[in-house]
Amino acid sequence: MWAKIREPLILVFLLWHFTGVILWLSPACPLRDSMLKPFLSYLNFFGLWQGWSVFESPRKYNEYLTALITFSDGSTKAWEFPRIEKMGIVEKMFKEKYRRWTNDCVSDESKPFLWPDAARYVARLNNDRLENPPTTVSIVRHWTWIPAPEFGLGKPLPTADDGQSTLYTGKITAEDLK
Amino acid sequence: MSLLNLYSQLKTFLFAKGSPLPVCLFRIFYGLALLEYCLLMAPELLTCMSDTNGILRIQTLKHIFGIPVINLLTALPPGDNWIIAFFSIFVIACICLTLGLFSRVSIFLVYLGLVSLQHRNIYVHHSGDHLFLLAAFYLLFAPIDATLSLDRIRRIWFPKKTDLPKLIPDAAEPRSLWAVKAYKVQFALIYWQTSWAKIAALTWWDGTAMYYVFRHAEFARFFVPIVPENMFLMKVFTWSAMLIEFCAWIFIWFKETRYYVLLSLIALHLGIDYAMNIPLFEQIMLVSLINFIPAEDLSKFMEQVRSAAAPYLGAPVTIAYNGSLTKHIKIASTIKSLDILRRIELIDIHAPANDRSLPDNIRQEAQTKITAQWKDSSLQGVSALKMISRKLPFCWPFYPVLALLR
Repeated sequence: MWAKIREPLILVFLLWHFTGVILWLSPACPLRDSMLKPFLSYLNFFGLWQGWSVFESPRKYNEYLTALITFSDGSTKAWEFPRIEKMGIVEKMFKEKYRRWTNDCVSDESKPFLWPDAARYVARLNNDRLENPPTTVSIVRHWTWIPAPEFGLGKPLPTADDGQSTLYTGKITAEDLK
Repeated sequence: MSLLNLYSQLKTFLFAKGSPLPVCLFRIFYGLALLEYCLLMAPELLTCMSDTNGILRIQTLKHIFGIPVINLLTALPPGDNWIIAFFSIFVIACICLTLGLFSRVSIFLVYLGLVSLQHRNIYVHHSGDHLFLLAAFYLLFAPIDATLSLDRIRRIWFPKKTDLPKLIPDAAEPRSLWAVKAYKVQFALIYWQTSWAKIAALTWWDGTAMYYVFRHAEFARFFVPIVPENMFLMKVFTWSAMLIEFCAWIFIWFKETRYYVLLSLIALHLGIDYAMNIPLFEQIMLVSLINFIPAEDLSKFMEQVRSAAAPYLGAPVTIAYNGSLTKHIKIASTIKSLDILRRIELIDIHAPANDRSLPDNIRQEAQTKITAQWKDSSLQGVSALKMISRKLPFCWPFYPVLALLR
């Protein structure tokens, strides 16, 4: 019995599976979005989501994040999120996860749900002053434009900030620091 | 072409049996790359995964997925020690997978580990990490234990059938490889999407994409001379990358063009790996290419390795065994499965073809004990083991210990 149905069953599974995969990979449009819906639960549940447009449209700026921590006595401290470009070859391999987290995700304004957790993490890391815990944390995004090729070739990359914006300011509770 | 014809061709493509050698070789290199993933993840495990001290709390995950996903980490009791225990089991599974020990269970645990780690914190995993997960999903259904595995030796000693075992054949039996073919399709789809995405982007068309990529400070790895400062070379690199990726998903399927595509992809990924700090991304891409090498070519390559290694390893050793004894067959099969360089000649003293090929004393001794022939003398026990282990690369690490034994 199993021998008889094995191949047709696998074929049906692969047809289902790759229809979902190809739809996910196809350019977004209302038709594609509605066709993809039945597959989303399956693909997400098993961790089979897709996304391979690596450097699809390379950004024209460099960026990094800092945090401004305010303590209960009113004093402040600037803290820099890990910056891969300042690390040695070996260290940057181990810390690459921070690049993904800070540069790709926390600095992305479409992912504000990450900011409270990031602020809490920064506060816990900097909760080293006796009787003077952090009370608020602001996450600040800094950017520097990469000059167009006609101005940038043969010249060192600018490092001074061209701009900065505060992405988030959040209160830190005693519960956050436990 | 009729629909029925299409169906039968699809069935032939998917279900025709073939050698599991490429996928088993892929399993080993995939396992090694997974161990690198573990090495890189271990120091940051709690920062990435802990609910107490980490960068992403479990309650925030509700905003991300909003639907059920496989995530064993959120099912664990509170406490960082549970995360460490979970990760330890995952590492053990990765080691077993690499060695091919309990491969089926190992790949299942590896899949569960990867899917849980990625669902727990998708924001510390890049697309290369995600390809590890996809590969694990397809490998769940692939014959990864068929050869080049400790499972093969385990099956010699603990067979499912109780009949008198036979000496294992040279090559693993052909197996159904539909899951490997599905992974190959998935792999080609990566290039399909990335090449179409680039075709739609202006910076890739005007040749400036690489100029900007080379100036993303956080990606810089080793120093790249000349190229980043020369616009002509930047354009050549930009368009070459586009061309290679576009050709990859089409021409990797054809026998005539496959090796050109594979060589181009190796050059592309090695280049990226040198210039950019994206650990593991290039490793998994390169390792996945193994699946596209036909088994016959891998076998030919192994023959060339054997010929090249032969002068350094000396003449083959002859091992005589009694083919009517189960224990002898199991030992002989074990030696044969470890003998990847073919430096051991196994002779069953009861096989009619071997009537005159052995001296009488060795034939006599091999009735009860596995006997190695060295010049005109016979070796048994530790002496024979020492002689054999010199010829088997997998036994080289143990040779110093054996050399100390008398």
